[in-house]
Amino acid sequence: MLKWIFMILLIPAFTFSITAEEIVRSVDRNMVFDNETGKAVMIIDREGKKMTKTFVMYAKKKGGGNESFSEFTNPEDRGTKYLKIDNELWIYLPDADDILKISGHMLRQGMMGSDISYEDMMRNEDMFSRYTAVMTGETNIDGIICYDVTITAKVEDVTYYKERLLVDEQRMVELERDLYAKSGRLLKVFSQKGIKDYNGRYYPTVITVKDMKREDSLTTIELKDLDFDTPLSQEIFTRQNLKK
Amino acid sequence: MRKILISLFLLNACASFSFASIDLSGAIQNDAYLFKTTNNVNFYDELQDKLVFTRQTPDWRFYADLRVYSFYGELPASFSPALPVSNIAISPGVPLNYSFDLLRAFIRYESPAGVWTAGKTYINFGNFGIFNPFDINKTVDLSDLSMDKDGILALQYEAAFSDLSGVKLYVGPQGGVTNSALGGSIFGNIASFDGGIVYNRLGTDTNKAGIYLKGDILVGVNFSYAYHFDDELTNNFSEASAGIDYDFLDGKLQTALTYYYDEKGSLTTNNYRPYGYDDVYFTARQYLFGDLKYTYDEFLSFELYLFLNLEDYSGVIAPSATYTLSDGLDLTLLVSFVTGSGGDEFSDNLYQYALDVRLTAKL
Repeated sequence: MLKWIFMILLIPAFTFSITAEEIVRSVDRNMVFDNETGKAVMIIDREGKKMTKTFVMYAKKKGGGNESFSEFTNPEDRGTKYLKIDNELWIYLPDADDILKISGHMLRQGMMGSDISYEDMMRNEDMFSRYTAVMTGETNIDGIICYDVTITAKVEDVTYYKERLLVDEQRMVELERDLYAKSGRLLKVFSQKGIKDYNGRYYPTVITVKDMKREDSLTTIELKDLDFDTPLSQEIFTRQNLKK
Repeated sequence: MRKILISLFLLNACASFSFASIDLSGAIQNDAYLFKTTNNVNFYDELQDKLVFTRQTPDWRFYADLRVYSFYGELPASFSPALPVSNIAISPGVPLNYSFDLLRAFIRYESPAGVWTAGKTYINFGNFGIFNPFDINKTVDLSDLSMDKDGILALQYEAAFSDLSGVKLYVGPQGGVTNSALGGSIFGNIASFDGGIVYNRLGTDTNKAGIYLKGDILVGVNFSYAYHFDDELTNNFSEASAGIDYDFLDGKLQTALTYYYDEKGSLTTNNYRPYGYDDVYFTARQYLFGDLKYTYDEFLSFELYLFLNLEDYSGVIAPSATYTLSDGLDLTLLVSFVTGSGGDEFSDNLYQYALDVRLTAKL
């Protein structure tokens, strides 16, 4: 009898042959990039009313930081450009032909009125070095078995204190990411679909963001023509490029 | 009806007209104004077609912003041309039917040595926004801060020292060599602060030099200082502004407050000069500008701004609401109230209140 109890107790240990830290490292390998280019269609849906924005984006790692550049191409916002270098953001306004430095606190705002903030959109930091991870179990999303991992910030400089990641066991990419405030309040839910293989890197091409503080609001971002392999020129990530 | 047909014709041409890789985009905007003055109520309608022609190649860019206006009704006689509706010099009380304005038309060429811009363009120095001492065109439409301004004819050169720093120089011919405008700025980014030094000569006896900064110290902060001087250094004065901004409710409520100081500005109402007399905003010595923006959701937002003359305490309070009816189609209601006891700056020169119903469609 004791033998059976001992074996039952061992089952969970054998089931999760991978640790939470290893999962997080694997997800980082897919989601964190040195270079990225692509096109995006952002659909903002509020109570059935829809607004569509399109933009091209470039992002790269530089030193220990991140840089990104995006330009809106839809008619209402055509020519509006964003340059983000670490925690600083500049916007080029074509109607004024001028560059506006955005105050740091405004990075939390929804980008172009969407559920996704400037910080969310341009996020490219590895989780492993900034969070501690705990595996809480397994779950199933649309027939795909996922690891259920909770990560908690171990450094101050993070946007979200705690996150719950549902990670596809096979491809090691998050299918869902629930973002929590330090108070435990659920802030946003990211759902990621359309996972594609980019030379061994699994990356979502359809991201749906639900801001839990807003009712009946949803933002969907469809990514196209993604390229993680072409090195990007530093000239893209300059103030001068905003005015081109 | 006729002006609507003309506008539709222009916009239809805009949609179908494309050659030599020139892109045509734009907007149509109708403003229906109601001005209440002491003795009268004026109705004024303005239909504005914005036609933007662009051509972009890897090395150069062509950009032209043409406005076609059509009008109906009259502006109040007391409405100052220094505070124009949509940037056109309108003679008060004289009805105009149609008008054109080429706000900007320039070619921008990126050479290995820097970026050159030639044509009618904006010359922007200092911090973006209201009460910028380095603004070349200090005209303010108090009933609508989103007004697009006229550019100036100039040749501009910009070169980068690094990703975030560089130099900007320009010359703007104005009839004579000595009367021509010229200026420059060296700008950069240190410790998360954007800043720069500026020299600008707008013409004979009109020089200014100074510094500006914008960054974060818990809240967003900005500061600008300009020292104005004539060619003989005998007539000098200071102009400055300082502002803070912060947001609440996860960014849904944005707040900003800016203080403005003009050393040459008047302390008493009977010494007020006409607008545009010097290279400053308005006429009194000190002003406060407050701005509140609340974004209810992606489709509905509210704004309230306030100009307050700190010498006579007259002011302009302007609440507005914008609702997006559909992609690219916005409906805006702007109201501006003038406060004051009479005999002061704003209540003397403007209206009691103005109402603007605006419909904007972007193409």
